[in-house]
Amino acid sequence: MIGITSLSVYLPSLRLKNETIAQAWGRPASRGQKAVANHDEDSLTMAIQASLNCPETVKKSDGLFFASTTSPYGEKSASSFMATVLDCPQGTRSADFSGSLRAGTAALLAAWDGLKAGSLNQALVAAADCRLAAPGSLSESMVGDGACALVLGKNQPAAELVASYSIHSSYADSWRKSGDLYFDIDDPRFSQIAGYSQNVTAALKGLLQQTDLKPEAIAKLVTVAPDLRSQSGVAGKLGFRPEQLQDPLATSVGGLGCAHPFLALAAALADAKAGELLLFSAYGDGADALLLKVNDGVEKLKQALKLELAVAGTREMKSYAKYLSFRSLIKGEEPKKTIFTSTSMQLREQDQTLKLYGRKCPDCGHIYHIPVRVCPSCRSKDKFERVKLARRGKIFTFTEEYYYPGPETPIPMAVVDLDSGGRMIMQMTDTEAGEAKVGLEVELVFRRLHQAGGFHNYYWKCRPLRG
Amino acid sequence: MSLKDKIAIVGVGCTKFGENFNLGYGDMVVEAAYEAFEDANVGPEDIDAAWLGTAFPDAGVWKGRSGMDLAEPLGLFDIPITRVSNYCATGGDAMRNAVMALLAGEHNLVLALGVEKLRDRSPTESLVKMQEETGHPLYQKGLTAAGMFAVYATRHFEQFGVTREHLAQISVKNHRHAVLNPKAHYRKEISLESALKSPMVAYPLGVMDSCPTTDGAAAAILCRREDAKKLKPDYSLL
Repeated sequence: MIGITSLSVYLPSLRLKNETIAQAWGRPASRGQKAVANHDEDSLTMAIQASLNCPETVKKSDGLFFASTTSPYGEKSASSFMATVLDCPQGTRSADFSGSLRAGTAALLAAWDGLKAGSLNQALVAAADCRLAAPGSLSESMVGDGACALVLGKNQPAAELVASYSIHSSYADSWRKSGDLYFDIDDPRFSQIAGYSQNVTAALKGLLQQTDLKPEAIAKLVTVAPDLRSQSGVAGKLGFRPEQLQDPLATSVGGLGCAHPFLALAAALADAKAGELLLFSAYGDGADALLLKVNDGVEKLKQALKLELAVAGTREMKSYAKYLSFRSLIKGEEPKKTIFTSTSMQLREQDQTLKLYGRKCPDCGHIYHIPVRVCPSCRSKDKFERVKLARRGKIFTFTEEYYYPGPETPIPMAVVDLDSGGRMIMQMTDTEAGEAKVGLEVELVFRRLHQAGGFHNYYWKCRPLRG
Repeated sequence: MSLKDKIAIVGVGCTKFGENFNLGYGDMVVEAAYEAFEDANVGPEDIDAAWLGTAFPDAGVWKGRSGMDLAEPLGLFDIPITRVSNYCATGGDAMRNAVMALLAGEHNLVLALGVEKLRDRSPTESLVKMQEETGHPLYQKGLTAAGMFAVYATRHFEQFGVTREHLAQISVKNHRHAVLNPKAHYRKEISLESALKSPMVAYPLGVMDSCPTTDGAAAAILCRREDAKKLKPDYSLL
């Protein structure tokens, strides 16, 4: 039996209210809010956070698929980079899926095929998006940032994958040309006809026919439409009752691009009971439809999910100008700078900088994050054992830097004693000035530090442990 | 072996410290050195060897990366000059090395000179920029020089109950002393209250807990104790 063994949702802590956007543009306010990535987050870091939250150990996965329309690189694999950070063994197959809001389900279906064929034993599928709508456009308040990761395996899955059916279409109601910053949307009146409704209806119909099922047999219909009217329209036309429709949570976090179908699926699984059937579909340049059967494993998945916590967010982005600056859409006063970096150095040091291994001196027991040849504590030479460092710890001491340049000041710098042993100094993020305290419990999060050398420089930061 | 009372300072010189927009690196070297020569009653031709201390050539005007930057302004081309760099201990370490050479008997009259020219750039373009642009690309990014000391202060507060008020008193005392020193950067008394109210630089250190970005140079001429009397009757002993 092949199915989803774990599923996790990562949403940035910041929420931007539609009201704040409307106020900036002098327009009447509407309800709702969206999740917005912090200035140091992108689709890759969010996918890594979601993957790290997957209770199923990623180490056992021999497939790692990343899906996004907003990968930080046009050329350079995000999944390969993720495999390094997640410390997957060599032999792991990694691949990036892109180009469509269906990229998430495309990755899921490819992983499923790999497991069915026996070429993969367990696969991690991480979908993330951080799409940019033109400032002031109607789409601006509709798109949010976030990531979902799921593990596809054979060991007591929470939801078994039963069948799938796909539709392709030359028509897409949103697109972005290579080199463009913002996505475009088509005439909404036409896209309501030719877009979601037509494609998703066809995909769901095809799957119901293939499996010989009637809508009554389905516990929940899980789809993400560009608007709620289209969603209930499709459901009604196919004979689903309104209560069979899963709320995709779009008004709480915005549309998460190719990651959103998995958020809706997470919400459905959070309420699902063993034995139920879920009809799941993703829309974009056609549609994918999947039939899932909920199993006993769902209870374990529910416990680990903590969906409400993720959806709620912890901080409000009160300034629209700051939101634009976080997305590099306006430039503040920033001196020209050339930060030193080095690809050879980063490759040489990735064991500690990406994979978070430390070195333990077997003679005196001291653990160091930055490897040393001679133990500073007892002068033992070249005897160190490699130890995985914990992503949790307590602040030993800290400062708040008011003069270090950055999109947000002050920058808290924390010296953290990790639960595994080992001490690291790093920036604190997702936090307000004054929140840092000696003894505060923090978790390590993977973030984009700066863009030196013409590439993204990623590293660990810490943030207050919440919930 | 104790160094006590073995080495004499026979001359000292010092520029005004501050934003010396009208003085270059070499100007300050000359001012400090010649004031010291005059104090010691010697000329540049009497100096056997010299040590030049500059901690941050790259945050300043790229001067002070070798002894050449002492040789050129003073015309001292025929003696050994060593450049010393050891962060904030640079000037003191230049002097310590000069002392060692005297005690070794290799030289008889030596010059130790520290100089820093930072203020041809704005403070954020100087030391802060150095922290941001150089060093390891990942570790410690975000930390300034003030922050490096601030993390010690935070921990010290936690462990020993020291407070910002205690630190502020140091600033109040130092400012009071500066009033009496014509060469000090700021010559104004401050109150405890204004020290505490000063804007944050790196918590818990505020502006008044931190050194300003300053230009200046200071020099000392040293010899062994037995040679001091003939140069300067009121010499000082190390």
